[in-house]
Amino acid sequence: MQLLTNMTDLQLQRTMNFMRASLGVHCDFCHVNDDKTGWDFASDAKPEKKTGREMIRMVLDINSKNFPGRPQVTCNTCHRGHIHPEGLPELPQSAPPFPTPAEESRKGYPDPKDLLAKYVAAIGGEPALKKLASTTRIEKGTSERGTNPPLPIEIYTSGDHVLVANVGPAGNKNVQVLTAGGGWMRNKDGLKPLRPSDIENLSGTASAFTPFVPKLPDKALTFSKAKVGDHETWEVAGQLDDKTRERLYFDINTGLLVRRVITRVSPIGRIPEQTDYDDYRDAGGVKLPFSVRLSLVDPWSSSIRKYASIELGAPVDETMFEMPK
Amino acid sequence: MRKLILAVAILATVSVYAEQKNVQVLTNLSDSQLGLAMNNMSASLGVHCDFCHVFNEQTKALDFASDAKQEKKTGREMIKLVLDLNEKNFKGRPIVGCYTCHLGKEHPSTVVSFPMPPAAPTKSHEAEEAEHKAFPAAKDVVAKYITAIGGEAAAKKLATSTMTATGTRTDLAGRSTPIEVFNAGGKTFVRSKPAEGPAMSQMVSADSAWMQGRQGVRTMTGADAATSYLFARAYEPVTSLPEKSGVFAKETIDGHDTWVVGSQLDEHTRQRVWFDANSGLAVRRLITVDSPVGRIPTQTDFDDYRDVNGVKVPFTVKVSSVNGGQNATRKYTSIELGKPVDEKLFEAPKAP
Repeated sequence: MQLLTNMTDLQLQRTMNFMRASLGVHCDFCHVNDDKTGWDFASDAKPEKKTGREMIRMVLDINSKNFPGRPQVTCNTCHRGHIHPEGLPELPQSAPPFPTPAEESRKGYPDPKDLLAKYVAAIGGEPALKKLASTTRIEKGTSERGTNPPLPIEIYTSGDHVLVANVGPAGNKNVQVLTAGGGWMRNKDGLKPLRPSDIENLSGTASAFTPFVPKLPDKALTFSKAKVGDHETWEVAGQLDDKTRERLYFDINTGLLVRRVITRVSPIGRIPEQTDYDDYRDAGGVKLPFSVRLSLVDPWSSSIRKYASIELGAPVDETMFEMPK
Repeated sequence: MRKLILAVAILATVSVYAEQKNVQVLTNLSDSQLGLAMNNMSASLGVHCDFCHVFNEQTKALDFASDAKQEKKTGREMIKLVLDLNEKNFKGRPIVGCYTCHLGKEHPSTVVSFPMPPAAPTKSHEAEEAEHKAFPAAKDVVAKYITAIGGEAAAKKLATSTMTATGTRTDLAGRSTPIEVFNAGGKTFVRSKPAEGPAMSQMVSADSAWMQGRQGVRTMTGADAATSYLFARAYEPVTSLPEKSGVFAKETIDGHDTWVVGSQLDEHTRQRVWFDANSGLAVRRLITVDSPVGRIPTQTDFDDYRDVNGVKVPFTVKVSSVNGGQNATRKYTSIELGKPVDEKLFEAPKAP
């Protein structure tokens, strides 16, 4: 590691995937993958990796010189999913509007607080909020991860304890448990405690799939009218902390949340994590999305969960979180 | 529609009447080069000139020298960014231009959008080399083109003989005008008679140019002449390619499988020609000229090849440029090669 230092494993993994996604390539575009010995991420044998380093330096330099501190220019700004960026304007050009129209004024956009209130009303009002605050939750359904078909999954949550039991593509049963101080996993290879990078990964996924708790980010602003799939939405943007931003997309008609995008600063640009919500149904007095799609720059970790049941406040056997002897 | 016509008319005049006042970063450019560099920026952001330049409501003209608009100041910063970037990373070659990031939008998009298509395994260098080795040689692609248009003699005739043509010219706003085109000895004379308004004519050659229209006869110089000459040349069919040309890709254009042949015309000018892999005919030509803010493209699409005394000539020629006023499609109804052209047509009429 020469340039992207001081990052956690997950941050680095996401940053690498951001580069991969920006160029529309697989890891082997830069990294050596040998049929016999597998991946050699440390090797500098490929010229593409050297060029990659030059390009990271270039991006860092552009941002530090022109956009003080902000990662405004990213790999994707130019590459847009292609190995070679296109510098030539596409021809033929259509005539640009004249006079240049003024940017749409945000005056008249609804207050984010009103959008949040409409959302709360849409999911069931105050009683629904109380129900959402339950510390336990049991979700059962299927998960479609990466290129795998939908496979059964069960998630048991109690406070900050989470147990995910799923079936792998070969019919193998896996259990992953996250607790306050650590966690463990059991799969076909046996039982073992989670490594710090596993914990980071698993807790990231668990929080991305946790039902949205109605709360606005700091400095929330109704930013634009945006189309999300077939939904006309109000896009509310704000920040969760100085490195993390959130965008919430509320359906103009139903008031329901249809998308949430969280972006986190990396040296080469903001890395997005997008959650799409669909199929809202009643779950014991709260309207919840029964279809949740998590999209990450890492397509192998991206997944769609379709729940058959969601129980809030159901009793959860606490012993299930203890690592078996 | 009126608005569109006005917009096109203004775009057309911009490159013609640009005067260099208060130019701070893009110095050492000819009027024509500066005009095209400006059009390239406008095309890269998908905006009109008034995005950066003040439009004076009283005079109904753009005040190009004014620095009143914040967008113009930002534009200068951005030009500096591009110059610096190319200098530091690409040895001063204009690899990164405005379009590289802006892609026709005011605000470039930085975040990847979901869902992403799955990434295919990377092609190995060996596989890529093998693919390139299977490409035909450029000279064979050119030879096939020459054969397709009628052989060496036909190609020579197309390059050197006079041409008289009639047809229509349709501009970006969809207005069609009957035109007559006369080519002889490197000079081009185009006469048009719009449905409304006076007849217009224009003569361009490498060293002189004039036009006659609503305001009478005017000699064209500088940017004016250079730009008009560039666009007159853009309508000419492909007749030969430089020795040093190479096939560098196979692409599909409007359903045609094509070989892309690239050549360098001079230090700052590059050309790509797309030849139909089946018929051998040229379907597109792209000429790019280096500018400090990126390479500037002019594209010609050829279609409807028909026989003219043993020479296959494209009867539909579409020219696309970053200068919207120059975008037009010519559809010829008749083309004659080698017919004597009255030399008087190329002389500027005397003012009465």
